Amino acid sequence: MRYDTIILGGGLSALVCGISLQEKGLKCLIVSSGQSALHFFSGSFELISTGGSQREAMDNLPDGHPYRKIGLDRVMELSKSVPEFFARAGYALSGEYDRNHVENTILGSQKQVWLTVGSEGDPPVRGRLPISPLGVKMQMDLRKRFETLGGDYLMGDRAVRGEFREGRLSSIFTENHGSSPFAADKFVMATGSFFSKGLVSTPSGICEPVLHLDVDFCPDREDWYGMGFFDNQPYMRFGVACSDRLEAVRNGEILPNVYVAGSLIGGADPIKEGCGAGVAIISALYVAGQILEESL
Amino acid sequence: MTKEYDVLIIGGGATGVGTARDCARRGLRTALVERGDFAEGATGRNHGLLHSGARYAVTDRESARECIRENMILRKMASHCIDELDGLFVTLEEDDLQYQKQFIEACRSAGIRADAMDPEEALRLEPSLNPGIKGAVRVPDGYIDPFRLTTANVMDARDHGAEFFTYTEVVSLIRESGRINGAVVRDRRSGEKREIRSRVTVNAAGIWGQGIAALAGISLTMFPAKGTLLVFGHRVNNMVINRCRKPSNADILVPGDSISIIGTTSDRIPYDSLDKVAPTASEVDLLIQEGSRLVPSLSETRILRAYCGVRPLVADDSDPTGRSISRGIVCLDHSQRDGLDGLVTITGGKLMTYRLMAQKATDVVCSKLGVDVPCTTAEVPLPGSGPGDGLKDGRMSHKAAMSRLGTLAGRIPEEGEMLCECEHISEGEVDYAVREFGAGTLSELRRRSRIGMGTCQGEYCALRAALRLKAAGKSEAFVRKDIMDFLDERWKGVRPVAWGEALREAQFSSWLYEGVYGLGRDVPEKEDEE
Amino acid sequence: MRQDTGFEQCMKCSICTVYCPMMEVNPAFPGPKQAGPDGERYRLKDPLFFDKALKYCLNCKRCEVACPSGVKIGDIIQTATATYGKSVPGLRDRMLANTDLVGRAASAFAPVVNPVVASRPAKALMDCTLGIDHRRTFPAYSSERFDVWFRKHAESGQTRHKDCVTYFHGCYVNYNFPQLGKDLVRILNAAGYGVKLLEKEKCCGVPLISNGLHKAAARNAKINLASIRLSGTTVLTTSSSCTLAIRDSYPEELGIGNSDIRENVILATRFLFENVESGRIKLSFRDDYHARIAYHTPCHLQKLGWNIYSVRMLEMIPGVELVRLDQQCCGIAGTFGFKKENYEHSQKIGEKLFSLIRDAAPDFVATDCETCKWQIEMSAGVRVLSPISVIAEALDFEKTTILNKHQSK
Repeated sequence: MRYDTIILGGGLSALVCGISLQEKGLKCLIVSSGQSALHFFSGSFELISTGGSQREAMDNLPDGHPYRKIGLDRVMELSKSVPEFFARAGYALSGEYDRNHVENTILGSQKQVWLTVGSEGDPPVRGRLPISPLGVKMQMDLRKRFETLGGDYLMGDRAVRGEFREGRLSSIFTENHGSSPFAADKFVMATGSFFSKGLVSTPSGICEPVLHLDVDFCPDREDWYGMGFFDNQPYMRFGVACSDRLEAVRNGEILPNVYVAGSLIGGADPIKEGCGAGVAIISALYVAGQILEESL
Repeated sequence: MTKEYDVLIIGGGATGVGTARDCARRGLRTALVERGDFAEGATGRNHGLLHSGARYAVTDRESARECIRENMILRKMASHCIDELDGLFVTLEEDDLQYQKQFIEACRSAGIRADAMDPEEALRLEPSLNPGIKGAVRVPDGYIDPFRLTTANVMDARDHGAEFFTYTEVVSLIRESGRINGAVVRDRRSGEKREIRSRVTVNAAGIWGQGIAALAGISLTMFPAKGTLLVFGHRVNNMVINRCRKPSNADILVPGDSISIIGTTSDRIPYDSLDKVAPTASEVDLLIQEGSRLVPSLSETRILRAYCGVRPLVADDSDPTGRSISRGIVCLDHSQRDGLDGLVTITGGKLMTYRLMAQKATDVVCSKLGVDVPCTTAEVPLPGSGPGDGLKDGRMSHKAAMSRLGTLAGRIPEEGEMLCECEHISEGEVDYAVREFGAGTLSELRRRSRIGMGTCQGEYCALRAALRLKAAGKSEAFVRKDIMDFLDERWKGVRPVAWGEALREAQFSSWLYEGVYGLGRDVPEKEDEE
Repeated sequence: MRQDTGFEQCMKCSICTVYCPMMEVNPAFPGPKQAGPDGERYRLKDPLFFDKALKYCLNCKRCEVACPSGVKIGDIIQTATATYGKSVPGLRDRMLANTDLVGRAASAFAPVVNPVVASRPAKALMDCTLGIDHRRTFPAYSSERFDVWFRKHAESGQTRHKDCVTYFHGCYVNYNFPQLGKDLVRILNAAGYGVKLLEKEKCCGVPLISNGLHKAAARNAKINLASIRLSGTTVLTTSSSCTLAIRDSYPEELGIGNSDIRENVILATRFLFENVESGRIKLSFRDDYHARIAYHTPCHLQKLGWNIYSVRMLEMIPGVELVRLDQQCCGIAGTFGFKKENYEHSQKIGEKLFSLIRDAAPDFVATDCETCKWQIEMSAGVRVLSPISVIAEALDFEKTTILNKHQSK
């Protein structure tokens, strides 16, 4: 089967990317190996929450951070487009694109957040903590929007390998579809971090299991972790190596038609920097923008 | 006026609480101080192996005899803490089958039943075994849950009037006219100091007993030996598996409750590093490597955590250099040994012989006090043990409660939401532990109920259980801090094995507790009064 | 018999519980997480931890589709029931499970059996004696079995085609609805493919497994696999559940290896789509065909991930206006919903789907599963067709035959 773009991964980043492309008429396939971490959505997105104004906070981000790759001004530009994006999907977000506001958590602590999803009325689906009915609904709604726009969404299927031709990825194969390839011009890797198995760790190393993209990580396992649970956890920053255009790197070479989006990109600490949702959404929009530019 | 007790016991491990139970049952006014929570030391940091004694049969016949006698006693009086699994001593390809003969003879002469069987039969009984074994011997090993055992002893002692003070450390001993009359203690939470006066004081502080003795000006030399163990995610084996050779590293695999535990390593550590021990990567690698010789699937099995304990090995009195270390029970009446009256030290031994140690210490205490009441702990079952403590039909969480609490499970409402899904613990069981076992923090709750000990290592139950603590009256700020402490403690054990599924789980936990619930990143941190 | 179910990979995330249709309507069912990986840990400790409430599992596999960790939750539950649930299936369960045996007998006496089974007194009798809910209507039996028809009327002409495929028709086509099989044979012949049947075909085993008759299922599996191997061709199916059984349940629930032929067993719509896409087959549709169709994805097809092929095939038909229904379980779960004690749950689960269908107001519903078809026809009052039958209705056979002439000898 052939598509314009195939997106591996089915969470927030994949959906934002897929919807953006379908909105412009590109035919997309999303391959998702099960439901995503959006099911634990707190109700608010974070862009960066290390203090001060968002743009200022970004000046303190380390080199190699996905926001730095994208360009901090570009990040803010994309941030501005996010409320409209969600409005088109039926979600009115409160909060300013360039300023944080404070939200209470269920444990009574406070968090600096970027955009908040209103939750009026009864929760639409069942779910006991930590399942977030709001997150489940958002996952369903975004998927539905993607499909209504003409996208195909394969749920519960796992990409197992890719086929490369002349330095480009030409097609991928999945568990359910066996020897039948899915071909596309562009691919987006949005398979997530460890939890979603976008990255797989063993006692001796870390790999990206589908395309065997290059992964940035510390070689010595002792260096992967902080001593305390709430300390800095270096493993949080591990991820797939990519160019400033977020093209994936494999065997040291840039794959010109494979982009990386979301928490699979290395260099960010979603927890300590409070940038998990921000990286997911902004990188997805950024990648979608490039794909659209190139397909004009 | 300060209340005077007949006996003050220092240390809330199995030996300490067992001594408290024995003393209280013999009618003594009993107090116990513990610097942390019950079973926080070596008691809760071993295999939980209900030794048949076979392990010591060749090298230490006296210990072996003690073990098998206590084994048979505990099966009756602590039946709800015990899983009668039986064990196999297997000879691997690289081991000498000659040792098996010597082993069986030694077992038999120590009174331990030991039946040799061929490899096929052993593999049929225990399919997880290395298929290349040359032989196996079946012995009456089992599993004993140290936390349940401790809780049950505390409960029974309390029922007989004993008083327990946890998070209370001994600052000094009260020394008056050549004898010890109790201790000055400090409440570690409030910082408050006070005297606890007693006619006899029992040093049951395990490895920390050296320090207690030092407070009395007595020299007692302990030789701390660190042992590291690994917890596998589920039961890999259903019989205890030992290696049939001289005791060495990673040669015991115990199916303990819902998991399997391999151990141990053994390394002498300096006494002053006692409170800083942690499992190392090389110990973890060694345990996996050696363990998978016994049971090959261990190399592929998910590891939940690593932990280590320190054995309270004590130098033989006649040889203070520590060249000959005893694993046997050491009960010292310091009036005889050091001319200091009012102080008894009970140490050495092992979890397996905790009851016998308690009996020996209580016998000395009673003789000092001129009390002539016989010991009953070998006959009277612990609360929860007794007829009808087996598994009956019912809802999953109720069956699980029966497996943990024995006859006490009837006191827990059968309905109710599941709180800890890995270990099938209902809200009712958690509430019961809060109410009846005095669990006031998540870590205490863990030792009294198993929350946080399953696959997710607290990721799910920490929040839910914390909400039960809140319902029982703790403040929101207390609960926030408590969750953080609990997750920190769990992480210590996960960190050495954090790859594969364990790392996925850890990342998920961080997302939830830091990312979603906002712990550890509160903007203005409020201090709590609790 | 325990297979590698990946139960250790469970992150305890609970996502599966959101998608379990039974949990939503039946508080007695502990849900996929507790019944599956959580329960398994305790069953490994002591088989007495087996919970009888596992019988409520529909085996719809929606939990497996949702699981982000790849845990085969449904398989864990089914295997636990087989391993620890010792109850002996009663007459009713054995009757419902033995579609082969009962179908064979009923087909022979179809003119007598059909009106009797559908009659009010018989339904009442089956309700109180057998526990088959009186509100259910058994699908009618055909008086001529598909395999008999095939050998009589179709087999001889098949060798004139250059290529050949094998058709695993399943019990439903054989005993209840041979027309679907006839439709497929006609389409394939027009597309230039000859069709043969397996030398020996037995019930795929799905109803046997779900009624606890694993040994009988394993016997059937071995016979089917041997015949599939012998056929040496691609084997096409028209039932999503038969397909899932042969591909996945054989190795994962019955412990019978099939890796050598697994990839050769595929749903007919996938076969057609892939051959149309590659240009090997050309289809020509009638221009006077018009229909508003709501497509329902059966749970087992969702698990296979192949609904996109059926959807694409329907979209290929120029006169079709296709509504893709949200994936919801219809509630019947094979024989489950026929049992008196499950009727209420079954209908409650299906309600979401029924209302989606009512809202879509289609001419008819298309789906790839026969039991979904019965349930929707019984409960939503809409006709249901297999996509293959839709294609057969819409196909211009003459033109298609000519377009694919080169395929014939």
